[in-house]
Amino acid sequence: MSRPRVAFFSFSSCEGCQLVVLTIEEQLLELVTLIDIVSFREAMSEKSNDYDIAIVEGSITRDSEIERIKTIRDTAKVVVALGACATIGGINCLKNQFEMKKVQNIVYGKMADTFDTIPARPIESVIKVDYWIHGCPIDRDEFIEVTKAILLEKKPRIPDYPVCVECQMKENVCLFEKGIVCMGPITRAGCKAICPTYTDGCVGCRGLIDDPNLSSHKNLLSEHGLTVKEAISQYMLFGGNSKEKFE
Amino acid sequence: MEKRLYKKDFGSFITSLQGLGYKTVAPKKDNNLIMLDEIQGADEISLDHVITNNSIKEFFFPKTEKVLSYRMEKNKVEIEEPEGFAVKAVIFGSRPCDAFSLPVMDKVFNWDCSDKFWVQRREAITIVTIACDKCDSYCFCTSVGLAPDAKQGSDVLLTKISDDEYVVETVTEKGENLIKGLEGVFSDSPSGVPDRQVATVEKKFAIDKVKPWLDENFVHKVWTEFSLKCIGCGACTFVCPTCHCFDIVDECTMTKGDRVKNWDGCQFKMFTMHTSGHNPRSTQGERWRQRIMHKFKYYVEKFDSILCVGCGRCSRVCPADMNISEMLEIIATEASQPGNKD
Amino acid sequence: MKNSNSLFLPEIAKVVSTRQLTAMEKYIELKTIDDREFDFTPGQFVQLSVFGIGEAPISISSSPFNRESIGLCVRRAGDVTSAIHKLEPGSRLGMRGPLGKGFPVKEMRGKDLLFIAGGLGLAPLRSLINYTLQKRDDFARIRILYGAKKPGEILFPDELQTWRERKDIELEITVDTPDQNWTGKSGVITRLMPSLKLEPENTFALIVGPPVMYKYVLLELQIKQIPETNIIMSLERRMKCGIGKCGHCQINGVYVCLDGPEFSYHTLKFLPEAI
Repeated sequence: MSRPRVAFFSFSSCEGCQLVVLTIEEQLLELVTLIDIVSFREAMSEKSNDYDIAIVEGSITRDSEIERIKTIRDTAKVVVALGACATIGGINCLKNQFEMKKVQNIVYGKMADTFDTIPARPIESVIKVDYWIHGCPIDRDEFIEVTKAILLEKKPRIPDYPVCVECQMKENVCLFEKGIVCMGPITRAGCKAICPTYTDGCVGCRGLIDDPNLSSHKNLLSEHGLTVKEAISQYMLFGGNSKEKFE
Repeated sequence: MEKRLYKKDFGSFITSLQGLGYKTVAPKKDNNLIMLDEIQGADEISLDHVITNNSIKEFFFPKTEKVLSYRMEKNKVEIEEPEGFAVKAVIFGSRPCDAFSLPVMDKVFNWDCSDKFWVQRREAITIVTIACDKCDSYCFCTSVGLAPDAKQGSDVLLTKISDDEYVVETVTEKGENLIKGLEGVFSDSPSGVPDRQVATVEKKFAIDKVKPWLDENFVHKVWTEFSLKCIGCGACTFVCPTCHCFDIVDECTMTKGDRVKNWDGCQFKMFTMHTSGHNPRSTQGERWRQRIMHKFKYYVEKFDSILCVGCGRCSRVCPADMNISEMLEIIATEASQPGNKD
Repeated sequence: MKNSNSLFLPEIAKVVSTRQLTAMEKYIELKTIDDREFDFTPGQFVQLSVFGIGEAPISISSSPFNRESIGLCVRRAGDVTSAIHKLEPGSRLGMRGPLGKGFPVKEMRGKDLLFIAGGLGLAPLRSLINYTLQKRDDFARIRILYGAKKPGEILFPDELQTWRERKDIELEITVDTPDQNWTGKSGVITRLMPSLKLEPENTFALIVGPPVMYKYVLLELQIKQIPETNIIMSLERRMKCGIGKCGHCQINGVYVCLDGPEFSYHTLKFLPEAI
C-alpha cells in the first residue's frame, strides 16, 4: 500500500503551528517513513497539487482564500485544521469586532483599497473539516495522536472536557485560589494545562468545550473582580468567532 | 501490641524500612501542597497538615496502568502481561479516612472476580496511619460513621500524645509483623494511660436519613440545582479515595502497543456516551445524581458500605465551590420534612 | 469463564469466515487459536478487541450447541466495529468472555415463547431461538416476531426462510418502510401483537431491539397481561471492563455487564435509569 501523500497549507497565519510540527524531532523521522510529504512551504521548496491529506493552518480572511480552500477540499480525501486560526478562527477574529473599512484604514493607511479583507473565520465555515488539531500553537503529542489516528483509521482521542481536568491530574493548585483569572473551566483540554502549570492563566486558545458551563465561569470571573466588559474581552481573545455565546 | 515512637526516631524508622526492602511513602511538601509521595529520608516528611492533597488511592489504583502489551505481525499476535507492579511498600502518615477507603474498595475489586492489580498491591503495602489531631471545616468523617482515630483499614495506628511522641498500636497481623521486624525503632510504653490528642470532628448531618431520602427521590429538582455550578472538571473524582471508575484504551504504534487502564469519572459527559450518539446521562444534573446515588445508595445496597469516607477533599478542591457535605445536610434536612418534588 | 490471570487479558481468536449480511452488518465466525470449545448461554456477549483500536461488546449470535466456533453479527458503528469489518479470515482478534448472565433459559422450560426482535436485536435472539429449536420438545408454543426498518436491512434471510418452513413454530416479519418489491407485512412490530392469542401466565416474552421499541412493546404485553417476571428485555450500555468494576455500564447500581444484559421487566421497574 503506498504511503499517503500529505501537503501543508498556510492561510492567514504565523506558520507557528507548522513550525511546531518540524520540532517533533524523534517522531518526525519515523513519520516520514509512513507518509510522503509533498508540499510544506516552511520546510521544503518542492510543491505538488496531488495529495491525499491536506493539513491547513490559518484562518480565512480574504475572498481569494475561500476559492483556495475549496480547491484544497476538492483535491484532498482528508482535511485537517491545524491550530487555533484554522480550528476556531483564533486571534485573527479580534478584528471582527470592528468594521472592515476601519481595520483596512488602520493597517494599510493610504493603500487601504488595495487589499480586500473579510471578517476572519475558521476553515470549517467554508469547507467540511475531518480532523481538528487545536491550540495556539498546537501540542506536539496531539499532532502525533491525530496523525496516528488517520493512519490507523480510527477516531483520535481529543478531549471534550475542560483544561481543569488536566490541571487537576497534574495536582496543580487552582489559579483561582491564587487570585489569577483562568479560562480553563470552559476551554478544551489537550494541552496538558501548560499555561496554568506555569502559573499563567489559561487564555482559551484551544476553544470552548462542546458544553461549557459559561454561567458558572462568569460567576467565577466576577467573584475575582472582573467587570462584564473585562470578562468579555477575555473571552474574545481567541473566542472572537463565537461571540454570541458570551453575551 | 502497643509501643511508642519518638519523632527523633523517624530517621531510623525510614532507614530500617528501606533496609528491609520497603519503598517508603509519606506526606511531603510540594510547593503549596502536601502530597503522599515516595521519600528517600525522614527529613522529607511533613506532618503538620490536616490531610494530604492526594489520597492513598493512587498507590493501589494508579492513575494510569498498563494491563497488557501486544505485538502484531501479519496474522500473529503476542500478548504479554505486566509484572512487578506490586512493589513492597510502607505508607506512613495516611489518615484514618484514607485507610478506611481500602476495605471499602476491596469489596468492588473482589466482587464476582478479583482484580489482581488491586489485590496484589494490597498484599504488598503496609499502612501506618496517623490519627488526626486536628481537622478543618471540610472534614466530615464522623458524619459517615468514621472517626479521626478509626483503626479499620490500617495495619498500624499512631496517635499523637505530644509534639515528639506517638502511641503505636498494631491493628493487624501484618502491622504486628512490621513492628516486630523493626528492632530499636520503637520504644516500650511506660505504664499509665497516654493522653491521646484526637481531633473533635463535628457531625454535620444524620447519615441514616440520607439513604431513605435517596430511595424515594430519584426525580427531584435538587439534582439540577446542586449541579448548576459544576464545570465537569472531574477534580472531585480524582482526589476522592473511593472513586474507582476507569477507562480502558489502546495506545499503540503501527505494530505494537499497550492496553492501558486510566482513571475515569462519571461526571464526564463521555462516560456513558454510546457510539450511536445516545447518552443516558446527558445533563450534569443526571451525572451529579449518579455520584451521590452510587456513593450513598447503590454501594450500600450492594456491599453494605458507604462509598465515602468523609475526607472532604472533593469540596476542598472544587473550583466552583461545590460542597458535598452541605448537599448531604440539605438532603438529610429535607428528609425530615416533606420536600418539593420536580 | 473466569480467567485466573488478569481479568483484562483476552484470549487470541482467529476469524474463520466473514459474510456481509447488509450494508452495515457483517457476520463473522471466530475460533480461538487453540481451538478450545465454547460454552455459553444465549444472551451472553464477548468483549472483542482489535489490538491498537480497542474493545467492543458484541452479543453471540450463534447457537450454544455449536461449540467449535462462535458467530457474531457486527454493525459498523464506531472505530472498533469499523476495524472488525476490515478483517479477513485468518486475522487475529482478542476476545474476553463469555460475559454477562444471558437469558433465563431454565425458567423458560415448558413455556410458550414469544420472541420479539427489532432490527439488530435479531442477532442475540438468533442464538436463543436456535437453542430452543434444537431443544424443541423442552418448550411449548414458539412464536417469532421480527421487525426491520426496510427490506434491505433484514438480517439472516435464509435462516428466516428455514424457520418459516418449519411446522412447529410461527414466524411473522414486518418492515417499517416497504419498497415496491416487498410483498410481506408492513408497519411497526407492535402492529403484529394485538391479534396474538396468548396464555399470559404460561408465556415468556423475550425482547431485543432499539430502546424506543421497548416502551411500545411493553404496553402491548401489559395489555395481554404477561407477568412482569416473564418479560425479558436486553439493555445496552457503554462498556469497558465487562466485569463489573469500571462503572461505565451502571444503571442505578446494577451492572449491565454482570447482571445482564438481559433483565426482567420486574427488575427494570426498580431501575429508573433503564428505559
